[in-house]
Amino acid sequence: MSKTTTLAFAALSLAVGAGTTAVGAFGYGALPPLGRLLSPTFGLWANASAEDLPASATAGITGLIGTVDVRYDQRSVPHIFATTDLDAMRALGYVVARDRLFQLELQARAGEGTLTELVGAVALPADQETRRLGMPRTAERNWQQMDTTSQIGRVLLAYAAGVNAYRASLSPAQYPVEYKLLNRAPRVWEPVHSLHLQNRMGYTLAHDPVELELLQARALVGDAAARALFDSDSPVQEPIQPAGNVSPREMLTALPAPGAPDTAAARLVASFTAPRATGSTPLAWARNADPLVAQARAFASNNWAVSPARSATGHALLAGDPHLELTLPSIWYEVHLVVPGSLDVGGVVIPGLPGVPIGYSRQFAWSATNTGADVMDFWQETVNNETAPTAYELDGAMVPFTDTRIETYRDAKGAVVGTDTVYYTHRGPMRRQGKAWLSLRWTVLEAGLELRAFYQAMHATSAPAFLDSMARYYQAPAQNFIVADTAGVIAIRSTGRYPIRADSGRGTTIRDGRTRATDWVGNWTVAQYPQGKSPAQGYLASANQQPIDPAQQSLYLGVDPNFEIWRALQINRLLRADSAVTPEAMRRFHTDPGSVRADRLVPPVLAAAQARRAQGDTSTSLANAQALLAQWDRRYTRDNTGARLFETAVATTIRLLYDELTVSGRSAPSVTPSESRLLQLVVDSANAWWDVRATADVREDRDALLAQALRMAYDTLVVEYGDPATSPWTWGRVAPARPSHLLRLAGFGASPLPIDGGRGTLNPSVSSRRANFGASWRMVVELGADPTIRAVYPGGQSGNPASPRYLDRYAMWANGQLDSVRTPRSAIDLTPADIRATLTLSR
Amino acid sequence: MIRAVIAAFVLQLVAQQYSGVWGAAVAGVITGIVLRAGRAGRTAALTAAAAAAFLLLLEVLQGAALGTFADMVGKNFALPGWVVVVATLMLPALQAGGMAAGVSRVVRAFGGVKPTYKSPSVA
Repeated sequence: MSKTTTLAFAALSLAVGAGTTAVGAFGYGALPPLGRLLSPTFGLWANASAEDLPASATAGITGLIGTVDVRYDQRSVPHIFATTDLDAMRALGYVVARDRLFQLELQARAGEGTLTELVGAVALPADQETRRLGMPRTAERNWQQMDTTSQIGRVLLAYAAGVNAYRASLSPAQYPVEYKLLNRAPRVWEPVHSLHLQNRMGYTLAHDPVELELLQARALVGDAAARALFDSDSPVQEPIQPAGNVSPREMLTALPAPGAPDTAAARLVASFTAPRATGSTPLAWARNADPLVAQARAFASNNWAVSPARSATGHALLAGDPHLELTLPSIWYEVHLVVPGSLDVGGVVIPGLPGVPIGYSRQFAWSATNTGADVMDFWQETVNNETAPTAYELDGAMVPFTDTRIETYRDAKGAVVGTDTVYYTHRGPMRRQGKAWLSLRWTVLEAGLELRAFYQAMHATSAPAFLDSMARYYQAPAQNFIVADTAGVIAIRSTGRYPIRADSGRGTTIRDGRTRATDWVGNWTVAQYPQGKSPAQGYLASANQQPIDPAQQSLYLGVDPNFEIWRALQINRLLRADSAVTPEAMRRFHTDPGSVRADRLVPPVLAAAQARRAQGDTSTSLANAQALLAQWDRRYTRDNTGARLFETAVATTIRLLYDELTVSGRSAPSVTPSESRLLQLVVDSANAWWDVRATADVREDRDALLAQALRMAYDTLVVEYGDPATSPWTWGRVAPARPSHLLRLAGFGASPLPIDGGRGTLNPSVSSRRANFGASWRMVVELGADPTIRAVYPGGQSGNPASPRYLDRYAMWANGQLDSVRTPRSAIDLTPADIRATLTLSR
Repeated sequence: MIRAVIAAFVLQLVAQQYSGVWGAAVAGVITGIVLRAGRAGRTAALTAAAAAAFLLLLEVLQGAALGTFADMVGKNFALPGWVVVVATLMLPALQAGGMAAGVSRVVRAFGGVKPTYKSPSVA
């Protein structure tokens, strides 16, 4: 072989070696650095074998006053025994980071609007929404204005010290697997990150642009029809604040027929969707056209408490059941904090927040559901310059903006992927939407004392004291806090800041920004909050229903589309029927497959099918569908075969029924009323809403449309799942629960598991293309002399997909079981057999 | 020959254990310089893959559910788990093999053939 040939081969070989090394080290294009990823020692494989909870470990945290003893029980729950509150918070930061470091950063970035810096430009729409809503600005200002020597300032710093101590202890080989896949390193945790995360929860639970939905509806069906659907109370009242009724109050009045478009509303919608608009659909920026963003808001929750008089054990009972997105790792992390003489609380924390939002102490237990209150309003502003405004009109003068921020979005390498200018009026952030300028005011942007509320409440000693601490500081997102104590008190209060509006008093129209007269004029007093304390009925319950019957309180709190009636009706039905409630019954209620929704809506559907067939409809599909639905017991057990048909029939009904709310060129309504409106319509068989516009020569009535929807649903499902005679549409198969990974990585998601429950039941934990939410934490507490707690959440304590603690609670959760929660008063209360691991933290 | 292979394997093991992605390539260069024979590339490639396999085995012995985790990772990229395992072995093999083959040829071209061991064919 000639020298030249040898050298040519040498060059080729070196190119292969150097090329694969370069790609392995740095990646190429979309290809990640495979060498780092696949290295058995440093890459993903290191996470596969990492003992993420060694039997014994020690670590240091700067600033610790004393030694903190952390004992992980057999459920991997860390029991933190500290000598001061701040040491407990340092340890809390450490143990949460130890199991959930990537989740900490991801969720804080979601509230900060910097997801692009972690996951790339794919997250730009989510970041833009976050920043345009002014969320990071609020967090930054709150932190800048916070006295770092104040109680909460020190708590935030202590928590950050704990997180950062763990972060600093890691070598790259020990980084969570997601960082390796993204080729990133964990960033330093700053106290302000907790505030970003808090805002994110506000966005998740209290982002409710009802006036924009109403506007869209008015533009399509006129003012009267739109307001009846979108600007009114729930047609069935089973409120959180007991109304003294023995049954729900129903107001099934006739709905006005869809009318001619409201031209003023139509003009406004058109102005919002002018060619300059960044969103492609009307009001897209406020309504989240992106399904990945939208699904995060499809939430609900339950909580209820039973008085000793109605409890079989003679003790107060409390159940917590918050419904949130079902993610892996779970949104919750279970902990127990003990500081002798100061603190003894357990429950679940949100990784990144130094407080226990749902949990228990020695004296009481508490939980929360979302109020659904309308706490976000919009104003149409007039600016001095359409292209580069510097001021807005207010009371006859041009007033400079209070702030103007240039928002710069960067990718993981620091390259700019987008910019925004967000203006601020005295009301809040303002942005251009089409030809119009809209500002918004939102209680979430004016809150900031929530951590103080939780911190104070954790130190309370009774149910009333807990609620009073919350009422003093807690503003947003408004929550229905329920609490029960060992003295037998049960209480609930819809706590948060509820603005009082000028003029109409309602927050359902876009206001004129040119005058201060349209501004908020005050807030509800605590005495006006929906609430109840040890009522005569012997129980309290909330499930996102309208918190107070408008017959009792006429102040505007929100509108029907933001509430849900079905679960409230179901839990009240169960509690009314049980005069000796046991903790075991409370557990069963969590996954009770009963459905008021099905009980109320299946009969009219069956009657419609029967009527149509009696009138000569010979469709085999309709006959089969009717037979299948009639066999169903209306319970969402995992083995039932009728619920899938009912669900698809309801969805089809809504699509056909509200075709007048469908913008030309689209297949689904732009805005959809709540399902509770079906109750008004099914008793009004000739209402014009039943008529389908597309069939101009036929006027459908209730029976025609319901039968058509049932037939269409059946045909759809035959295509999707096969003939039900040979391949039954078993609920557990066609509607399983399926928690997904935070980054929606298919390999790190959970396998689907069948569950009892579905839409409108107390356990709506069903995944779909657009939503994957459900029971994120189930807890039953018996408030005896020493509270007994049982609980579970889907997933596991570890955030490492390779860890045996990643999914170890999932099957138990899917089966509706609860685990016993340990509540040791001190470290010696846990025997060696109780302990899975220990961690000693010192300075 | 066997001693040389064992030496190359140990070299790869140490290099990959402590130097990660660069280790296989650096060990490949050393193997190429030391062996300088026509089989330097193959030797380096095979020992690099063997070292990676050995390190994976160590992870299994420490409790890693290799197959399960490979399936999880592979699913994220719409790949079967075995592809991830094969890629884990192939990458250091290509790095080390390429570097060793290239370096050994350069050395041979400029320094003459002076193998440090006698392969059966040479003998």
